[in-house]
Amino acid sequence: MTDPAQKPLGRRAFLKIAGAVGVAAGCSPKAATQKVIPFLVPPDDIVPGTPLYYRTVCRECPAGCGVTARTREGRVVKLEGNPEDPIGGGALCARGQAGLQALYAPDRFQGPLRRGPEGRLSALGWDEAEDLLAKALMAAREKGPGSIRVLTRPEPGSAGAFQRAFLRALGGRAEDRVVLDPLDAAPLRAAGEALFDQPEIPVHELSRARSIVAFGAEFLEAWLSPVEHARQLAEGRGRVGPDRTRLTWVGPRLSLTGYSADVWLRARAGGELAVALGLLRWLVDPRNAVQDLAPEARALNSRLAALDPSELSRRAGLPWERIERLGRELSLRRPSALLGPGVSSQGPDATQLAAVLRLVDLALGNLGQTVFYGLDPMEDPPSPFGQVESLLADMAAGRVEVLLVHHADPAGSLPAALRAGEALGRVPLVVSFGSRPDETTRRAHLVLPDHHALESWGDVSPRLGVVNLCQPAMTPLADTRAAGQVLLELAGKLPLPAAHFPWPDFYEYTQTRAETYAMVALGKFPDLMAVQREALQRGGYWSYRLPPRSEMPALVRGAAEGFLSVPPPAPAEGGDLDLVVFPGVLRGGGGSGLPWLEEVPDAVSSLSWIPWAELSPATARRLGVATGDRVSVATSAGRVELRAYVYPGLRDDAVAVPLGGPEALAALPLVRDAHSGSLAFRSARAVVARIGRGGSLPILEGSPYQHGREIVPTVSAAAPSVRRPDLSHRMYREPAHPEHRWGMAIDLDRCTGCQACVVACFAENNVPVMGPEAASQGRYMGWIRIERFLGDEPGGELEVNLLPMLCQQCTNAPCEPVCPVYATYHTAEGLNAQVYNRCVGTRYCSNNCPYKVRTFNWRDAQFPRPLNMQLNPDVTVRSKGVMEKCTFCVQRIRYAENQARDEARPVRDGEIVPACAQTCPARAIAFGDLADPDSRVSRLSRERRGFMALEDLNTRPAITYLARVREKEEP
Amino acid sequence: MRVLVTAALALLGAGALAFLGSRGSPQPPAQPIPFNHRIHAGDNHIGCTACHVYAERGPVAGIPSMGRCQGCHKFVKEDKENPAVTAELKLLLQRLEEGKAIEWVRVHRLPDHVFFTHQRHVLAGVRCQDCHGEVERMEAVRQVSSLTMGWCLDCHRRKQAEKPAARARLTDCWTCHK
Repeated sequence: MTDPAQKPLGRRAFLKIAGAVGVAAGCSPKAATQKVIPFLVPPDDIVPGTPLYYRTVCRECPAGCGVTARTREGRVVKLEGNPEDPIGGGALCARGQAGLQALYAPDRFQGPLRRGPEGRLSALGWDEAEDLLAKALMAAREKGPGSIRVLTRPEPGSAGAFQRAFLRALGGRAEDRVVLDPLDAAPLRAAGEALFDQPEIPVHELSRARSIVAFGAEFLEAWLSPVEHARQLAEGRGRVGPDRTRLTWVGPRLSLTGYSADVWLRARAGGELAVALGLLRWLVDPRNAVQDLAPEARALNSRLAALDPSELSRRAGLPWERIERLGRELSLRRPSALLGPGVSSQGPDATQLAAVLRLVDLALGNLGQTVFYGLDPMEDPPSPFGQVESLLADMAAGRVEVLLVHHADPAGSLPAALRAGEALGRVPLVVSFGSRPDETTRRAHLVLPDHHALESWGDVSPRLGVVNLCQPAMTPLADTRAAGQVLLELAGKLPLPAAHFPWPDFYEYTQTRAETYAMVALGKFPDLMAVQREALQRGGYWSYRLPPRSEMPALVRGAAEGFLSVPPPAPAEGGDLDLVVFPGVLRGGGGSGLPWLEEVPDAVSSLSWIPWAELSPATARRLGVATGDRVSVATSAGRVELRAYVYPGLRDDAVAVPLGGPEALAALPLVRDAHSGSLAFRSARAVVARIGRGGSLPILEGSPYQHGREIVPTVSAAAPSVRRPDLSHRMYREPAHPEHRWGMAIDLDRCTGCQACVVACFAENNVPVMGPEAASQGRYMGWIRIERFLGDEPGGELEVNLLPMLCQQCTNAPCEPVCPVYATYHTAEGLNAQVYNRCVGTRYCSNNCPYKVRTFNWRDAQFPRPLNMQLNPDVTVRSKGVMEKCTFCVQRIRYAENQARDEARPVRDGEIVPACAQTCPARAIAFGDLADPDSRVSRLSRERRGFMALEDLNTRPAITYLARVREKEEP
Repeated sequence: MRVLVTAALALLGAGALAFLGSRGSPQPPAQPIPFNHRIHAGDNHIGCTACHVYAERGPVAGIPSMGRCQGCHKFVKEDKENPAVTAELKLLLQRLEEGKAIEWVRVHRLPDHVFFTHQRHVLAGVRCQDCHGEVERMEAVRQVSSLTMGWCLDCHRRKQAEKPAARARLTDCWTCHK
C-alpha cells in the first residue's frame, strides 16, 4: 500500500521533470577525458590504424589449415586462409573463422588454478603450480609404470614431439600417452592396413573425379579435410558439361554434404555397406563387362557372386536397380572417388565399409588418381580407441596417479556410456592445459592454461610435405603459458638427468625442429636464418605433391576376402527407429560454446543455439509430433529430451540427432567397430515419444518451400540457361554509375552451404550476437544467410536448393525511397548505403525490402570483454534503434581504392575481396566491377546460367546467381 | 506563462552553450607535461610530421613515441634559467627508463562512427593548420575547429566545387561513415 500523502507521479509531472533533465543534460556536453598513450619505442612494422598480417595455423580441427591473421594495433581482428597453404588454399571454414572467439573468450582461464579442498578452483602462481606438479610427478613415478599418463589431442608437430620426449624422460612408456580425436576416422586406417599394409588415412583429390559417391562421409562438413574437399569439388563443378563432377550421397539422412549431391540414395542406416558390396559385386561381375577393371578385383568375383542381390538390396533399403545404376555410372565415369565411412555411417562394420570402398577404388583404377596413400605424415595419429578405453579403465581402477590432459575433453566429447567423467574422478591429480572450462577442467585439480594458437609458437604437419608454422600474432592476453614451455620448466625441476633438456625455452625447441625442416626443404646447409625467416613469413614449408600411380600400394594377397561377406544383421531391439548422429559444420564434434557458431543457424534445420531431433514427416505424423514439440529419444544407453524438427530429408525409419552437446553423447550406446575397435556412432535403435509442446523455437526459416515462385531456378547440363523476364521497358530513370558499379556473382553449383561466409561476415563487420531468446523472436542479425529450399510444396519432390542471401545492392532499390531521413541512399558506385548515424529506426526500409536482408538492432549489442577486442576498428559498432545490412565490405573497397590511389593506378580486378568471398572454400563468390566489361564478375554475370533473385520485381540487383546444374539421371 | 518563459530561456541558454561548444574548446586541457608546441614547431621550425610520423602513411597522425622525444632531449644541456623545464625533461627520461609512457590528454576527438584518415588529407595537400590551427604559435594545443560534420562538409563542398565530377565522392556519406 502506498502512502496516501505521497502523490503518485503523474504523466504531466513526469514529462516536466524528464524535459528539465533533458535540457540539463543537453547543457553539459562534456565528454569523458580520453588519454592518448604513445609508444615507448615504436615498432618498425606497425603503423597505427593500418593492418599487419601474420601467417600461422588454425588449430580448431585436426586438418591444420594455414591462416593469415590480420592484426590491428597488436590484436588479431580477423582470420583468413593462407593462400599459399596447399591444404586450405586461402579459405577457412566457419569453425576456423570462429577460432578468434576462443582467443577472446570471456571465460578463458586467466592463469594457473588449483582446486581447493572445498572443490573450487582458485588462483596460484606458475612457480608454485609447477613445483606442486613436479613433486606429484616424482611421487607418482615411484608407483611404477603407467602411473603418469598423458591424454592429448593430436599434435602433429613440436608440441606432440615434446610431450613424447618429456614422458620418455620421466621413464614413461610410449603407450602412456594417448592421443584422442573423438571423430577419428580409425576405420580408414584399419582398412588401409588390412588391404595394403598401409595404416594410413588416404588423401583425396576430388577435382579429378568425374563421379563422387559419399557413403555417409560428411566430407564438406567435418570429414578429414572439409575445406580442401570443398575446393576440389568446386573445381569439378566448374566444368559444366559431361565432365562435371556428379555427386551421389548414400545414407538415411540427407546431410548438408548431401545437399551438393545430384542423387540421394536413401539407404537405411547401416545399409551403406550393402550398397558398397552390391556395387563391387556389380562391377566385377563379368556379365556387366566393365572395361579396364583391375585384375586383383576381377579375382574377387567368385566370392562376390555368392552374395544375393535381393539380400543386399533388402539390407540397403534400396531397390537393386539403384545399385546397378550406380555401378553403371561408375564404370563409365572415371576416375571416381568413394568416400566413407563418415560419422553417420561409422557403425560396427565401419572398417569393412572402408575396405570395400577401397576395393571399388582399386577395381576402377582410382588409386593414384583420386585417392592416394603415402601422404599421411604418421605424425601423432590418434591412438586406437582400445587404448582410450584402457586408459579410462586404468583411471577408474585407480591405477593412474597423475593425468596430464592437453586440449582433450574425454568427459565432454565421448559417449556418456564410457563414464569418462567418473574415471577422471578416480585420478588423484588431473592436470589440464585447457584454456576454457569444459567437462574435463570441471574435474581437474590443477589447470595450467595454455596459450591460444594465435599466441604461441609451434608447427603442424597435417600432410607429408606440408609443415605449417605457428607463430604468435599477438602477445598473450592472460597469464597463460605454452603447454610445451610448462613441460620444459617442469623437466628442469625434476631430479632426473634425462629430463634436463638443452633448450632454454619451448621457442628454442620449435626452432631446432624448424631448422630440420629448413634443411630438408633445401637439402643442404645454406643460410638457415634466411630460409627460416622466409618460411615464417609465408607460413610454412611446402613440398607437397601427389605421388604418381606407380607409388600406390598393391593389394595384400588374400586380404580382401575377409571383407566380402554380409555381416549378420544387427538385432532389431531397442526401438523402432535407427538413431543417426551426425557432426555439424558449425559445431563439429563437440559443443564449442563460441557465440558465432551458436548464433549462426544450422544450414539444414536453420535452428541455432539448441540441439534437436529430426523426424521424417511420416514418422512425425505417426507419433503426433510437430516441429518445435518436445520429444524424448530413448536408446539402450539413455534417454534424452530434445526439440523436434520435422525434416523430409530423413528416412521414415530413422531419427537424427546432431553431435555437439551432451544429448547425442548420452544416447550413444558403447558399441565398437568389429575390426578396428573404434567407436561406432551408428548402431543404436531408438524410441521416440512426444512429451509435449515446446516454447518458441530459435529457428530462422519461415517456409522451406518455394511455393511455385521459382525463386531458385536450376538448369540441366545439356541446356544450362535460365529463362529470364523481359525487363527492357523502363518507367523510371535509373541511377548512373559513372566510375564503378560493384557487383557480385555467386555460383550456386559451387556453393555447399558451409556457412563459412556467414561467420566471416560476423567477424569482419562486427555483426552482433543476440542470443537464443532473440533468435526465437526471429531477430537474427546476420548480414548474409544461407536460404535453403527443400522443394516446391510440402510433400512434393525433395529438391534442395541453397541460396546465399545478402543485400542485393539493387539498382532500383525499394529500401531507398521509403527512408524518411535519407539514411539509406544509392552511392555513385551502385551500393545501397546505410548511414547509421542518420538512421532513426523507422524500419520502413526493411518492410519494403523484398529480400529481407536488413536487420534491426532491437537492443544494444553485447560484446563482453575481451570479445570486444575482436571488433574490427574499420566498421562502426551499431547501437540500438539502428537498421543495418551488408555493405559489400565497403571498408575493404575503400582500402583498396586508397591503395590504388597511393600507387596512382586504377583498382585491379580481383583486388577487392569481401570477407564472404575471401573465405569461401568453394570459391563460389566473385566480386568486382560490373562497369568493366572484362572483369571476372562481368564475365560471370553474362553466363547463361545467370539469374537474379526475384528478378521480375525489377529491382535490378548487383548480384547475379549462377544456377545450379541438376542432373538427376546420369547423362 | 512564466513556465514558458523559463523554458524558452533554458532552451536559449542550451543553444548558446551548444553554439560555443561548436567553436572548439577555448581552453587547452592540462597535460601531464606542459609540452610547448611554440618552441618546437615555431621557434625551432620542426615540421609536424617529424614527430607525428604517421600522418602521411595512416589514418592517425600518431603521438610521438617516448623514444623519439628522448632522441633529441638526451643531448639537451641543463637549462639554469628554467629549472622547471629541466625537471620536466628529467621526468620524461625517467619515465622512459621505467618503461612507462606519458599519458597525454586527448585534444581532438571524432565520434566512433567517423572514419577520418590523416593520410588522404595530407596527401591531398590540406595543411595541418587548416584543421588544427596555428599550432606552432600555441604554447598548449587546444581545439580550434569545431570538428562537426557541418564544418567538415564546408571544406569538402568547397573542394568539390572545384572539380565536381572527379570529386563527387567528397560529399558521399560512405566517404566518412562506414
